[in-house]
Amino acid sequence: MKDPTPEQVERYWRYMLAVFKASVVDKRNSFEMKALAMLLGKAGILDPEKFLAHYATTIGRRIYVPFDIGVPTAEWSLWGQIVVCAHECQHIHQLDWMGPLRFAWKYVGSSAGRAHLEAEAYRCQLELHHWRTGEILPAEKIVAPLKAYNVSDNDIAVAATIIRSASEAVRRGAITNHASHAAIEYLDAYAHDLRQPSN
Amino acid sequence: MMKLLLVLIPALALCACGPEKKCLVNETRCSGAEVQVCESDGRWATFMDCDEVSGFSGGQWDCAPFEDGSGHTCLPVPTDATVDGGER
Repeated sequence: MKDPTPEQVERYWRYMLAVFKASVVDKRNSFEMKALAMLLGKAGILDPEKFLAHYATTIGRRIYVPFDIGVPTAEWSLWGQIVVCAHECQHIHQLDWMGPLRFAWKYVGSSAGRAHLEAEAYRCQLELHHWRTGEILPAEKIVAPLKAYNVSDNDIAVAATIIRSASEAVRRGAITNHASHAAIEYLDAYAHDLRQPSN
Repeated sequence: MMKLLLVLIPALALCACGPEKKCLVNETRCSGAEVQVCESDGRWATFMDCDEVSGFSGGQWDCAPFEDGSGHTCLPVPTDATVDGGER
């Protein structure tokens, strides 16, 4: 399977940022992210270093990423950078759809709400992986990172149900998310060579 | 009989004002074109809108149970041609 080129990744990000009216910030050098990392660490939710190095985060319309777009690292492959962009843009769609207060209340205020919003955004992983390979990722694997979000086991199980249900639609060719739809439209038009030839 | 009615009527009134019946966590269902899951608080929440899926994916999609009945999702609606060979 062909890997994306750095130029493809950069152009794709530019497109997605324009569609979702978002901007990107280097998480590693962001004062607000360092402060948030410290708070999360003090609250015992997430290890600050892990938060800064291993997670992309979206606040409002700003996407904070711990990598340089188009530069692959051991943790963030170029394809991984394409997928995470769609995931974070789906959060921006959620923010637009729900409004900032309802979104923040649901995300911060409850484990079930956080799991629901993340499960919806994880569908981007599911849909882009299917677009590229024709395969369906296991629901349990997709929702596994929720453990790090202080989400209860019950809510992780519900998130897995959401992914499993969506998988049945995606397997039949459905696109279920706004951000996946934008991403796949772009990739079909400008990076079709990333799809596995038999797919 | 009168005594029984005096007990039953307030009891029924209380039942009518009781909390909404909670769903079974992790159960799924269709609510029109929306696919819903029962969340851990025992309430239904929509997680997929098949009308949106139709817009994104082309064709028409609607909420339906899996073939084995183990859940619900958006499934493509067969066209007339595939249902009855195109003849009405």
